[in-house]
Amino acid sequence: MEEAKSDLTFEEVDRTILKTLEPPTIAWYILLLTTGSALLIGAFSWRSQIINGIGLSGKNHPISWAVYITDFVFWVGIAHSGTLISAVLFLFRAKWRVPIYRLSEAMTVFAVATAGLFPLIHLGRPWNFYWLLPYPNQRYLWVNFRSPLLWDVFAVSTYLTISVLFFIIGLIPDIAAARDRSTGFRKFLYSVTSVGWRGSDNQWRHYMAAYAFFAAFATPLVLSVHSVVSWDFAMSIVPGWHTTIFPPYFVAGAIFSGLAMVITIGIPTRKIFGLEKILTLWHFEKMAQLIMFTSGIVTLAYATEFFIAWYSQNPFEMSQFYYRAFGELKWFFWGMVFCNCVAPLVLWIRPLRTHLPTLFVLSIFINIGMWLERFNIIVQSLAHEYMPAAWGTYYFTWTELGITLGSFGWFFTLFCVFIKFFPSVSLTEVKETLEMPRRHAEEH
Amino acid sequence: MQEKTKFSRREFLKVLGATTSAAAVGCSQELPEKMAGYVSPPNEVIPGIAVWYAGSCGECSAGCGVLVRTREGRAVKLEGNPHHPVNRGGLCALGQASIQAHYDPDRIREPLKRELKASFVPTEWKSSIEAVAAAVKDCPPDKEILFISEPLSGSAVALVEELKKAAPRLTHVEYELLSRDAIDLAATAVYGNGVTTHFDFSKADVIASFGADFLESWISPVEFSRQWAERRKPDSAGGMSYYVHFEPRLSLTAANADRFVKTNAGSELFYLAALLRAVSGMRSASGAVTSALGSLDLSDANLKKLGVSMSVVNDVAKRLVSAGTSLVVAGGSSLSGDEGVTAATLALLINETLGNVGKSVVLRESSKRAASGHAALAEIAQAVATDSRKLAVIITTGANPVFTSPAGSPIRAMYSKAGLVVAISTHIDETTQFATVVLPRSTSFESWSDAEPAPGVWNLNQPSMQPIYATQGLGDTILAILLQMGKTYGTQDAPVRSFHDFMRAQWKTRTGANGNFEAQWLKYVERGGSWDKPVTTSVARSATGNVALPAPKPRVDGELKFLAFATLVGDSRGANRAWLQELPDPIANAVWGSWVEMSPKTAAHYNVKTGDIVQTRTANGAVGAPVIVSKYVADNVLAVPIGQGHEAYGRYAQGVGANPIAILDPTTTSGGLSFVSTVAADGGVRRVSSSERLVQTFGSDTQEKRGIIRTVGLSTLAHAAAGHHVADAHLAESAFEDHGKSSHGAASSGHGEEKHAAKHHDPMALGPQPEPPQMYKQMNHPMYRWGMTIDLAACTGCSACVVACSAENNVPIVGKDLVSRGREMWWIRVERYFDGPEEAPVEGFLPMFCQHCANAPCEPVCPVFATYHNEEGLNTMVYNRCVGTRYCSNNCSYKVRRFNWFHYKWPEPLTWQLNPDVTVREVGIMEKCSFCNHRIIEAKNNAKNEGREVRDGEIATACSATCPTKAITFGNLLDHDSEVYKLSQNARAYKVLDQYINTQPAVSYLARVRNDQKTTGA
Repeated sequence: MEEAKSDLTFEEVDRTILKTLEPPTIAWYILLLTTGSALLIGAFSWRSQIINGIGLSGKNHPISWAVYITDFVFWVGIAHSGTLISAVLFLFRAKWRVPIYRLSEAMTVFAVATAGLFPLIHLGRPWNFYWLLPYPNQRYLWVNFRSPLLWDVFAVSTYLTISVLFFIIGLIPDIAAARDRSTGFRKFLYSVTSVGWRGSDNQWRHYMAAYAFFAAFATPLVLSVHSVVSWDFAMSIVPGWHTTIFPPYFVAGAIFSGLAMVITIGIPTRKIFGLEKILTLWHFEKMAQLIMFTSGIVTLAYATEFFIAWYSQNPFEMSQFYYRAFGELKWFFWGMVFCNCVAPLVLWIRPLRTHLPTLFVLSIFINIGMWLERFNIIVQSLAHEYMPAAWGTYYFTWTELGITLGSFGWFFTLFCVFIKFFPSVSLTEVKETLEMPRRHAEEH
Repeated sequence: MQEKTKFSRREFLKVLGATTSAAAVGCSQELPEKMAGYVSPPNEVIPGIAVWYAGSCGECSAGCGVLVRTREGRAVKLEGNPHHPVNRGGLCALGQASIQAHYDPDRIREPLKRELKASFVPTEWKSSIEAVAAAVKDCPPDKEILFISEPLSGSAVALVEELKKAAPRLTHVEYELLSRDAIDLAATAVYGNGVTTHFDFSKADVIASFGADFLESWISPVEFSRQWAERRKPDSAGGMSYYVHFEPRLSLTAANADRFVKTNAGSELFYLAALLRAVSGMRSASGAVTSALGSLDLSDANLKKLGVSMSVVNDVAKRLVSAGTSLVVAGGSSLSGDEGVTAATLALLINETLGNVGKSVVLRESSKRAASGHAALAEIAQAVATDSRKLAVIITTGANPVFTSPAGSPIRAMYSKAGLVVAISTHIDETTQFATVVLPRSTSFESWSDAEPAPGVWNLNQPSMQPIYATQGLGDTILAILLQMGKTYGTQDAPVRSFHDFMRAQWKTRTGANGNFEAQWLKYVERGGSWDKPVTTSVARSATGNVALPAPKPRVDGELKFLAFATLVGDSRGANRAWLQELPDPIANAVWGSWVEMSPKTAAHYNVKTGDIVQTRTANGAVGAPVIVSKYVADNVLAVPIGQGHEAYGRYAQGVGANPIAILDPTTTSGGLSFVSTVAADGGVRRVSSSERLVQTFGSDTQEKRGIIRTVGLSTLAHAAAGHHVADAHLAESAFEDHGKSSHGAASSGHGEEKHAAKHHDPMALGPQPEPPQMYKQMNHPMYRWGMTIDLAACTGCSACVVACSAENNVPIVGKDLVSRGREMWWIRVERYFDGPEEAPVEGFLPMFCQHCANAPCEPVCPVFATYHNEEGLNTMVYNRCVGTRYCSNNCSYKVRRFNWFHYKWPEPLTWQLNPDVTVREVGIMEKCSFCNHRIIEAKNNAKNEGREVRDGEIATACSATCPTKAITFGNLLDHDSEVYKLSQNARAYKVLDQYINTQPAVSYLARVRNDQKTTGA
């Protein structure tokens, strides 16, 4: 499908997008109530876990990491495509990113904010979380820079900082536009957050430079953050974790899952706020194509893992991968294969690629599949390590499911609030794609 | 461990003061209301320094010597007494756990009484003793007094004699579930009155055991384990022994055999008889043999029907006859019930024929003075039931006959028919529940006692701390009754007021020392007894000419037998000790409950699988337990472990498992209870729904050829030693045939093979390995590199180390539910894999704990340096620094790190047992074996004070100290003269996984050796 020649005017763009900021409807409140309840369930689950002990989660010996680290990797992965869409595609001047980049950027920030909670939730003694930070203290206690977990601390905090800054900078002109149309508290809020934006040429020049700078800054993070996350596993000697393909495998998986999440969020947002003209099928098709591509990469990665396990003839690796496919947790594995490798094949059929209900359902499948992928990597590897006597299996608990639900609650609550307060599609960049409104020459 | 422990420093000091002042006050059994500090502490107490008291273990009749470690007036740990002739420093799991019985929160805390069916109410010692003394004294002439006790020994026997004198109508019965009555009766049958037999496994070149679980619970397991292990190494003096075991199921003892012969239940007797016939055919048979075999049908047809394999019998007979000294023992299910005496007699006659008596079979003078055994008690109970005898008083102590007798037995009813039922007991168990007067009994930690486990060996047990509650030792209670009855003992100047006085008088008389007795006595107390006087342990007797054995009961074809078997935890008394409940059974790996073992064929017949709950019915009732399907159980047997299924006794015992004794056959006429019963033909095994479930701790029964436990054949080793450089010989290959290389092993290794070995890295190679090239700078250990070796040839899997480690290191107990979710906390996991050949299915037992790797995977991944490598080679764990990321546990290849998922608590007074030298860990942190770092520090401090380095052998970890077979050696690997270094360079040494992942563990295992030598012919 060719890029549709838009007949939108600047005026229409402003009206359509800023309409999302109008006083909320009952539907919005119901949505907020739902997500807020999920958040509360998570908060109470965490509370009782802190009081009683991390034993309320299903983790055991030998499976010391499970649902929380799965959630962590899942949310970090979700974050990735946001940065990819906003920064990388910006640098490559891929125009199709324009209407979705704000959404995906917000998704990045909120997903990192969600992911960042999980290392804390997962600690045995979360009240001592600050010991993971290298801060000067009179006890001469320092952190261990050899530990991938510490790299994680830096990677995730850097990522959060950069994506928040990038996000805020991108918002400035749009907030200014909103400021000019609002009154009361919102006027005040937008006045403060638009930091005196007047739209002067000078400001635009600085803005564009800063935006490009942060885009360039954020781009390597797309590769590095999830590579570092994958090192949590790859740097260990656990069969099933200790492999060099993890960084590209994880990055591809992250983009795969992130795009799916953009679709999951984008389709309802488009419908609810009537953004059909801005967020067109063409955009969704582009995303679907990228999903086809990344699905291929993860499928190849899965196959490679099995191939290498056999090719190396390493008894521990062979045993591990046999266990993944045929052990007591095999349905998690086959579920993952279905969601990530088989289901996306429908995208090869073009009419389905642009059929929004199909895309929506598929995106949910991919979200589930990618969660399962991380679960398989983490739990199945730990369940079946070197000492057969210490092999184990996994049982879920309500607490960890509650906290996982809570993480979705937290993420979507942030999203709900964001949508009502800030333009969820970039006014500026949408306008950039339109023809400049100018007076006709003959009028002079 | 539900209660919240708040033990502040202040409270600690308070209790410290309280216990010390209690000690200072003397015999007062009440804690004073006022707390006082150490104004003038007792001489021997220095806060922070342990005080040791010698004593003896009272858990079974073996009579091991122990040393009790006390801190600030509290016993905290038991060690075996290294000088004691019975155990030589070893102590079993049951013995280690006796300290938990001492601090058991469910102990009776004061005398109790009750009227009829009312509940117990607290009362006074004085009135209780008065009531009992009056009842004993005023026993009407038509009634009797029954005194049931555990087998007594030492001065307690003399005291009971006094009691009998004072109360002529008193009958004393010694009652023990796992009794040795059949063995005593067999000795009488063969040698006449007054003798019994004891065994020395270290003398035997060939051992044949018929169900005798001498490494677990039979007679004197620690002693026998040590003797057995002495001859289980290829370099043992006198050569390695050959051991064959006959049993219907694979017990821990059977798993240690070179050959396990799975017999049909009930065929052991015929195996013994066939063996006796075969052996006496090769040696000259005595008249006794001929007469003994007379009553048995040993026709080929009958033997075949019973499943007795003559080829096995002939092979074993050949080995026995060609051996210099051998030993045949019978025990367990083959020695139960009416036929037990027959079996024991046959075993003894085989030994007699082979000339083992006086060598591996020691004849001892029998000190039996009381009737004993289940049959004796059941006979009285039967008489009571028919009113031919009437009981005025029953006094029960140290035994739980109501629990340990079949439901159909008249024993339970007997308790309801007596006038006064007195229990001198530590717990409200099933028998004590019948009592009207309960006199709380002190543990051996709180009272004086002595014992004579072997002729010339006298144990002296002193109290190592003040009684926790208002309790009294057994001796003191009996003496108080006697004194109350108006008896006086001792002289005018030295009246006997306590059992201590009584015992001293006994010892004075016996030792004959007069002038210097005080000094002598102190020496005895200090050493824990006297055993240096040479006593002829062997009585010369010749066999009587004629031994007539009763004809055995006819065997019915195709009958399914119900078999109750003893496990490591002995009879029922271990059931209320959380350590023993949570200790995985070494074979079944089940915890907190019972199970039913059955063969795959039986399981298929009843359509059940492992984990199903089945109800098993015999003529006497039914028990329900989860199924474990095992190839190593005879097809005609359902086997259920003894000791569980308590209805009373305490919080850890009640409602756990099922009691198989309840449904056994109650009709025994001689010796002990019959452990075999017949399963009802119709509806004998039925699947039921139940909340009961099977919890096993093991991940896999196979090690997938990873070389974790390695076994070498003795013939392979012998060949290697004869002409080949052992380090290059692929010793393990015969055990790991499909490892991708030749399976010829050392047998075919020549010079060409050496090159081959150098070129290809063989992960299964044994012996010292060349250091592989390393990429990074290696750890530097300037002074010490602590290391350990474990000789798997000696490790029996007895799990004593597991309990000792927990006692030493405050390892919490988590309960069945958490174990089922993989959260058990044991620092040591005894691994067993069924990878061996058919005739010896268990590859071996391997205690796995932190390997203190020089290249530890856990260390680099900790983000906060909570675990790191110190310069003494210890992989240390800084509990305070741990934030609980658990990454170390994920990356630990050995999976030996344990995480505190919750804040585990100990109910009072189990907290008193906690070792003050070791931190009690809080929720959310990782823990693991520390190589008993606190003991290392103590030894280093001592060495520093004396200006020297730590000597080899100076440090014993909790596990190495308690090991009955001394399989564990600890020391400094940098000291090339140290025992541990030498063992680590042994040709059998290997490090688990090291050859795969270069972890460089500090722990070396010495491959297990299986005596696979074929019969040489006789």
